[in-house]
Parts: sequence; structure tokens; C-alpha cells
Amino acid sequence: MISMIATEHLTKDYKQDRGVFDLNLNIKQGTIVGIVGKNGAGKMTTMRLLMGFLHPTGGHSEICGLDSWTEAARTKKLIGYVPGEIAFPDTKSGETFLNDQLALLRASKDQYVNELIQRFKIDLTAEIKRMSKGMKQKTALVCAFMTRAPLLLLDEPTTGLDPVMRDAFIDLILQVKANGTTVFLSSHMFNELERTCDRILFLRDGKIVDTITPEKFKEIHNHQRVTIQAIDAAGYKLLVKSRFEQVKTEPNSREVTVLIQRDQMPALLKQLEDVAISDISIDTQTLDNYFEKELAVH
Amino acid sequence: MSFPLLKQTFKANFSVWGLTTLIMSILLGQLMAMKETVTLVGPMFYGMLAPALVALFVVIAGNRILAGQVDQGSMAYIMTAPIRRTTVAITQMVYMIGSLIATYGIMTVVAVAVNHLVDAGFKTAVLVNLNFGAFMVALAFAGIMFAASAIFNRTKYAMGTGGLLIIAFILLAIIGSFSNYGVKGLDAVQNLTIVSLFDFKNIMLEGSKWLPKLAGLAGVAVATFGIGTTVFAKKDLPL
Repeated sequence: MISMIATEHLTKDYKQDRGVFDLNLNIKQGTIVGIVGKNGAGKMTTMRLLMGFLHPTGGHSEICGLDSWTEAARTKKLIGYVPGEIAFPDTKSGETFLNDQLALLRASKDQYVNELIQRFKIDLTAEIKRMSKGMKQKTALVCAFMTRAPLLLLDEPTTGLDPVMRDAFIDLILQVKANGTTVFLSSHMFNELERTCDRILFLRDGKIVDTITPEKFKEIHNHQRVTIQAIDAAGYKLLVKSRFEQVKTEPNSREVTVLIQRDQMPALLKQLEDVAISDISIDTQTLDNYFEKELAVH
Repeated sequence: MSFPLLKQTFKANFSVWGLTTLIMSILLGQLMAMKETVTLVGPMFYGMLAPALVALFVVIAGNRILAGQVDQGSMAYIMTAPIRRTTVAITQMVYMIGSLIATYGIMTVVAVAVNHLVDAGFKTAVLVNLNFGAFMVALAFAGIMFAASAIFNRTKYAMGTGGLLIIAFILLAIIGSFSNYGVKGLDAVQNLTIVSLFDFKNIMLEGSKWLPKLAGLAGVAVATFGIGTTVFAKKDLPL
């Protein structure tokens, strides 16, 4: 398998601890890799480095063996890109914009482009200036996908999309994956990454602090979050003393949320026999929960 | 050079170019048709109006073709295509130079035509040289604005440097022009502006001093377009 994205000690130091630091990525063809992190974690900087828009202050990155800075123009043939900030050129409508873009790519409007337009339900006659955020985002997505590039770099691709369109987007991702397309996407919505990504990198202060592999997915899903509400203060005290891992305590509503492995359930229920409880709910741990916990730890 | 990009740039800036060229042509035709044409066409039109009006187009379009699109973020779509940054810069440069050639080409035609119609008494060669000189001023302005637009990622900085410098040159030229009317103390001011490198008086007297002076303007243009292209190819783009 060839490496679509390979970086070695890739660094862009903006000083004051901002930027990305010592990034080592190796993304093989046909995989979908997500990168998550809070605002300012360095997701956009990573994308811009891979696009050759920024000159790294250290290390280097390659797209399919081509250096992303020195051979930027050649790598663009391999990349479909959705920028993190959507701003369209000064042109009339979605249609003129797509046509201009196809001209720049030296491609023509074919069946696939029309299919994409239909899939995202885009009204091409709409004036660019009056487009809603979601509409712009969908047009930007069509722009990236219509390149039929073997690598898609999508910076927060689902921002502004409604749930139906988000599903359409996920379907499309899975479809292009089946064709061997490599996708590298960033998001701050962990749950949507869960449905598409083979691997999720967790970026914090410009460094990758955690990588979620399929095995780790399983392990995360093997945990359950149990929220228990005690009837009285005495019950709450007992709950707080419990030996299970507590992720949240709410003295006011006398609620405790504990994180347990599935096989610990009988033990938990046994302990609850001594407590008068008014409510209990059980959820499988999601990536959101996991990262929430990780964020608190790091 | 990228033709699709050139076409987009042409379309995006057509109205400002067309309007500037139209106003300049009408003014020139009008002034030539009046009496006292030597004063009106010389110091008034080529000395002040032509540089000031063309600066409108140069500053607006020059700012828009690079810095404006980087600032707005729409440059991302151009840079997504497999086009080298140098090619992007050169294409935008070709647009600027090409439109100025068109503007002054049209003005030359208008000047020669009006000269014939109203018998204003200019030699055709003088009119051609006047427009060539004015074109060189515009070219130097375009280079300055291009460099500013290529260096900065924000339009306010591009405007605040390139745009301001061009306006300063025009103002100094206007102030300096009063030395023609006997204010001797203002002679030195003419040395502070590149506009005075276009010696329209010498052209109208059919002298030979004006041509070497234009080389100064050509030098400014070559340097600024060169700097702009180089910087744009190497800088960080926030796209």
C-alpha cells in the first residue's frame, strides 16, 4: 500500500505554543483518518501544511511521495480540498462558480458532477451572496468531490449541514472509500467521525496525544455510563463512596455517573441494592464521552 | 500563465476597468476639443487627471487580484487547482499589464481621432508618445500595487502601503505642478514623485529628454512586479 500522506516531524511553530509540533503521520491509500481537537488545536494548520499553503518551520510532509511545499502544484492534482473557512470568489451563482472551478481544473461537467449536485440538493441558480452557510458548505463539498482526486482533505466538512445532509455526506464518504479514495478529515464532532473513520487522531495544543484505532473503538464501546439518582442525601453519599469510576457527580440533583465495563454490571447492581434510587439510565460510552474524559485528564 | 484564471480575473474586474477607461477617454476627447488645448491636455490631463484616474483602477483591481482573494479566502479555490503560485502571480500580472495596454491603446485611438475631427493641431507622434508615457506611469503604479497585494494577506495592509504610496505620488505631482506657474520653491517636490518621470512637457515640445526618463518608470515596474511574484510564491497563505 502506498502512503497518501506521510509527514516526518512536521512542525509549524507560530510561537506562544501555537501551531503544530512534530507531527508524524502515515496514511495509507484507501483509509479514512479523522483528526479531532478543540478550536485552536492545530487542525486547520495541519490541513494548510498538507496543502502547501504554509511553509513548515521543521520537518516535512509528502502527498503520494511528492513534497507538499516544493511540489505543491503537482500534489494538487491528487487532492480535493474543502477549506475550513468557506469564502467563494466574486461570481454570480453556484453554477458560474462550479463552471469556473471546472475550468481551473481543466475538467468538464459530467454525470458524476450532476449526481453530486443532486445528492446534496443544491440549487445552482441561487446567488452566491445569498447562500446560507449550509448551502455554501454543500457547494464546497461538491467542488472537492468533483475533482475525483485520490485524496480528499476536508477541513470541518460538515459545518452548517443539517442532519439529513450530514448522513448524505457520510454515505458519500463510504462510497468513495469503496473506490479506494483516501480521506483525511477534521472535525470537532466526534460522533460523526466514529461512523466513517478507520482511525482518529486526537490533537491537542498542536500535538497528537491519542490515536483511536478500531481496537480502541471496541474498548470504548465496551464501557457503559450509568447515571444513578439517589432519593436522599444518605443514598447520594453511598453512591459517591462507590468504588466504580465516577465521571460526573451532581450533589444538587443527587446524581452520580459512573463508567463501568459491561461485565461489571452485576457488581454495580448488587451495590445499588443498598441505595434507594429514584432513577437510573444506562448509555454506551461514545467517543464524545471518551474525549470529554480525556480532555479533563490531559 | 493560466487562461481560465485570466478569464475569471478579467470578468471580475471588467466593470472597474471599463468605467475608468471610459471616463478617461471621454475627458481626453472633451479637453482636446476645447480651446487652450496645450494647457488642458498637457498639465491638466496627462499631468494630473490621467495618473489619478488610472490609479483608481490600479488600486482597486490590484488589491483584489491577490490580497483581496487571500483575505477573503476565495484564493483557496484557485490554489486547489494544479497551478503553481508563480503562475497565479504571473497571470494576475499579465491581466494588469494587458488591461493598461488596452486602456492606453483606446486612449491613443480616441486622441488621434478627436485631433483629426476638431483639428486640435497635435502631431500624431506627440499623441502616441503622450499616451505611451502615461502608460508607463500607470505600469509603475500597477507594479507598486501588485507588490503590496502579493506581499500582504490583508487588504487593509495592501491598501495602506501600495495604495497610499500611489496616492502620495499623485498628490506630490499635483503640488509640484505649481512650480510651472512660478512657485519656484516647489521645484524640489517634483523630484519626490515618480509621476514626474513622465515628462509630458518635453514630449509636447518634441524634445528627446523624455524617453530616458521613462526608463526610471520601467525600472520601478520591473522591480515591483518581480518582488511581488517572488514573495507570493514563497509566503504562507492563510487559506
